[in-house]
Amino acid sequence: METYFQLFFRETKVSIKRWTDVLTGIILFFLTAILFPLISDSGKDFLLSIVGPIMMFSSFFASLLSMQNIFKADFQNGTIEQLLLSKKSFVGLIFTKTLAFWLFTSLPLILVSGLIATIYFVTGKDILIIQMTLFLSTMTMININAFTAAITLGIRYPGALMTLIITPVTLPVLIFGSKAIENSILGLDISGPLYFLTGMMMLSLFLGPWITASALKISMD
Amino acid sequence: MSIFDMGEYNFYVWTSVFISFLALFLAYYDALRKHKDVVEMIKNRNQSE
Amino acid sequence: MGLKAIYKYGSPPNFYRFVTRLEPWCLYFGLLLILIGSAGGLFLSPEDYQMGDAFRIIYFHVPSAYLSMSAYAAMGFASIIGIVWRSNVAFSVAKSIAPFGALMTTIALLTGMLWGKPMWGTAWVWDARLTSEFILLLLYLGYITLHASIREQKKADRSASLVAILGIINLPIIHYSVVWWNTLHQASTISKLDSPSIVGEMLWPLLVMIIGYMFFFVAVICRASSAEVLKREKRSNWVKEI
Repeated sequence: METYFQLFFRETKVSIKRWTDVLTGIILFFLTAILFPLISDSGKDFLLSIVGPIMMFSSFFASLLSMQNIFKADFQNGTIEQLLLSKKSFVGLIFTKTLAFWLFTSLPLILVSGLIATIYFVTGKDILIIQMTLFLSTMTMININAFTAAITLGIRYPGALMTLIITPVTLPVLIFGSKAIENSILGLDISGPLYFLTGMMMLSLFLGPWITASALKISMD
Repeated sequence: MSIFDMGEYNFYVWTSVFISFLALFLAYYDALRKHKDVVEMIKNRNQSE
Repeated sequence: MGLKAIYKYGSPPNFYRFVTRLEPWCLYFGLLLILIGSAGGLFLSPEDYQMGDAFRIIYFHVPSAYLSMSAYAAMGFASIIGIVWRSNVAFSVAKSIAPFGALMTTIALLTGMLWGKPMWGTAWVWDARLTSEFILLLLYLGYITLHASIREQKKADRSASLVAILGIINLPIIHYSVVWWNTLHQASTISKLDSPSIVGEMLWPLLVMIIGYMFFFVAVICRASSAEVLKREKRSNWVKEI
């Protein structure tokens, strides 16, 4: 158990040291979301109708870009080999690392989304729903992106390839996420999409680290 | 009326036919060329040994 | 059949010989069926009173779409065998299927658009079937690109196989998501784009085409995977005797 905490604290220290990387993700999210009201018809109805897809798209994009490097630095300085050799469960270590990454990149993102939601004329309870949706979907996306980063490890410019692989897998999350937000704003029932999102999150939390670990083992040989 | 005339859908039907056959041809031709290249390479190796 | 047959054909030289002998039969039979089916569909089958001659496109659209999906299933299956049995032959088959599958998917999408435009006025709509087919294309392209980007053979095989297997699990989920989304919108486009029930004299060319495409597919895979196996085994003894 101690090892996991040590790894967690190490990830914390690394994230704080590389706070610019963390900030980049958040700024990207913010800018992408802000761009739409800036460059288009910024009437209340229009913005309310697109806030769902925009939120999902922006978080997807920001998550994708900031996760390209989740394993790269550690790969280069041999940390991953150390983790592999340790007696602890490799899957558990990957889970810890992913969770730490989520905490530092996605959690701020969720907080910022509240601010963005007000810019989009979203009110009251709906803002919480948006944050809840982003919570569920970023959790899922973190695991999917970790797997994709693991599988493209060692490729020099994996960006486009990662997008190609990630899009089909993340599509259901994006669909249900934006549907949840839309429904909430329209006052319709949101339990359907939220159940599905939670289901996907659970699935990715359990399978994600395992499949990421397999991908890392393949990429490391 | 010629049986080749598809009425107002002429363009659409014959384009579909064309690209379908083209795709089938390209697929097989690509596989054939790959095979030929490999066999060439192996023959050259055998000769140079 | 049993495992013994699999092990026997799993060895590269046996596979190569088997596949080389199988190919001409599949090729000629497949081409024959395709020719017969095309002629039957384009010229012989009666004109549809609702759609005129445009429905003849389905004789090319349906086989491509059907093949694109079964090819992906075959690719996934070959990938699983490759990973579990560490079989080079299986990986070669999977790698050979990918470009052909991608091509079929593209043709299915294009012929679908060529059918949709004159029929319903729109070349595209984001309903479950079309979206899934498009995603299928992305899955194929992801596999091909990943395989091409990794320099080391074994690593490329196994990484790409993981992606293929993930895709198989993923495709039904995507289909379901879009269906769910559309039912909420109560899109009338779903019923609009349903294939009309097809009957009797119009049916036989379609079946002939589908079977013809399948045999052609097997022939192409025979040729491509035999080339791939040769390339991987180029240093071994049995290859020198070819």
